[in-house]
Amino acid sequence: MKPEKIPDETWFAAVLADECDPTDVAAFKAWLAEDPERVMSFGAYEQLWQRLAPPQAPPFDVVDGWCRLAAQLHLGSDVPEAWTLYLEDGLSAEERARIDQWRAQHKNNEAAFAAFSALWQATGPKSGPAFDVQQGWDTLAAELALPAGKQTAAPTQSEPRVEEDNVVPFPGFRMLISGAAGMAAVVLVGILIFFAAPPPSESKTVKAGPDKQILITLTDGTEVQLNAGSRLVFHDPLPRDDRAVTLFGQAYFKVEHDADSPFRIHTEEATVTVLGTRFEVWTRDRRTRVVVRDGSVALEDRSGKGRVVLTENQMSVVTAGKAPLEPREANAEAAISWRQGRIVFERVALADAVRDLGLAFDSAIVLDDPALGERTLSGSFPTDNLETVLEEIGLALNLAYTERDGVYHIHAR
Amino acid sequence: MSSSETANPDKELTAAVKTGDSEAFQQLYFRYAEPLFGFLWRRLSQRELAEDLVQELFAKVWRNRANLDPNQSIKAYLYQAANNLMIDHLRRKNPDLGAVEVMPEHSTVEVDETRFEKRDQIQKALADLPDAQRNVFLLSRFEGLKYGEIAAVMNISVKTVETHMNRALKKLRHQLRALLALLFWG
Repeated sequence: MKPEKIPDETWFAAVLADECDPTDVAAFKAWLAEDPERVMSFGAYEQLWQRLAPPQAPPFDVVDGWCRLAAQLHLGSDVPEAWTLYLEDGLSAEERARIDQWRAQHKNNEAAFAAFSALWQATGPKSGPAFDVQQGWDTLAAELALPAGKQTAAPTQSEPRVEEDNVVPFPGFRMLISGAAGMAAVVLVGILIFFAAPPPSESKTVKAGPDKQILITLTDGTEVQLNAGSRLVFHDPLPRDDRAVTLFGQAYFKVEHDADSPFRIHTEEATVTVLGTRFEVWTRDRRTRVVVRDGSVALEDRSGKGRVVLTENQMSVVTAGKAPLEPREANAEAAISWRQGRIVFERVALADAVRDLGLAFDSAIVLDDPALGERTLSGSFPTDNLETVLEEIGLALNLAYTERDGVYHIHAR
Repeated sequence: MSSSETANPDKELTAAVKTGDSEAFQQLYFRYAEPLFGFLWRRLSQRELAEDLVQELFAKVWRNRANLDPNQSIKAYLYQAANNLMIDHLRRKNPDLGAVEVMPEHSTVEVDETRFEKRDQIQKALADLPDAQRNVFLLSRFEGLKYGEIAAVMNISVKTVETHMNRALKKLRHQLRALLALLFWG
């Protein structure tokens, strides 16, 4: 039986939206049958519901989409190994059949395999006279007046502080087993690197965990303080003639001065060029923000639409595909206060602030009314206690919070 | 429900993706890429854009996999992320907006929707609903999300979802009274 206080529409909606279990549906039908008016009324809603059927979306090629995504994210690193064995006749008939089956599944698979195969043939070893490396080196060393020896050790470099478990591993991937999709660019990239001259330094990725910052000292002496949840990709050692790193997230840089070699920070949207200074780069949601504490920094967008030079206590923002905004005054100390264990929001939407806090404290925080997300928040908050922060936000915006089952709900007072 | 879904529920899949299992990630993609594409297409009515946003969405999920919570609905998480991406996109498209200024999200969404809502009365009636009611209604009717999932996507309680649905239906019925009568008798 339907409790009287529930509006009819609530029942209608729940039945139409398939929210009711069979018992509820039976009760609903019985209630409906009591009164022909109700049948009419529900009929109208049912008709409305049918009339509001979703528009049919155009077809979406999931396999193609996955291929492109997997290529972009460099998934499937062990596929080339299997293919190599295939081409070298190192696989069992069963394994060969599996690869053939996979090739036949989708045009992208076959194209990726063909490209790999062509590359493999083109770069394969050609049988020729043997080359004695030791002898070659001895001759060259004598010519250049270098000390002869088995090999010269690479100059020792100060190791950046990399915590092992923060290094993002290259994911292994058995695509052949799941057999649903293939690879294109990944394979080519991987193999090209393999056959090209090995790079003088190796690419490293350092990621700060959700609740801690990491200090990285690059081999040129530049210090990078990486905020929680952020990621830095760099070469180790950093080539002196190409001091460049890639940042995802937020970091504070203290760049070692080198007049002959500018230091570059790439983000998805922008490139920051610097001679020697202290400044902060923040990148998220396709925006890159730079705040300069001292010295000067050039900021240009990746598509080359514009370039601005920022000096002490100035900031600018690049949004993907657009020229940087005109420099404007910024409180650099406030912007980088997270380094001292504070989180600072300067006219940030509450929705974004809540996302940041959730990340910083590894906690679930929700806005009971999404409209609250549009409220703007400014302030500097400690990072040692989430409840203190929520209380301060509550005071600032006249809101309150309730903790239920480990989830913090922010709502009106 | 497909056999793979029974074999590997969302929760386990999410936990596996969190640990960096790219095969699980592939399964997640195959399960949700198409519905999410439909969701984005129905809101934006631009095919290529919807495709790009789906790719961007999954790339983000993979890069931020460490932050996934297997105890929360991944489906709701994906729809929420899709919705955020869509709003971000609309914000970016408007060159007058400062990058650090946050626009009230719905005024921009509406600008985009007016284009195709004119097509017929129903679209108009949907567009006339308050944002929260429309979003709840569309997630239920078009995307087939459960009340609990809608609540998670929109950061509201299930009770509020129920209220919004109820009000949306009532208003739609009122708005479309003439049209429905016509259909009924015609």
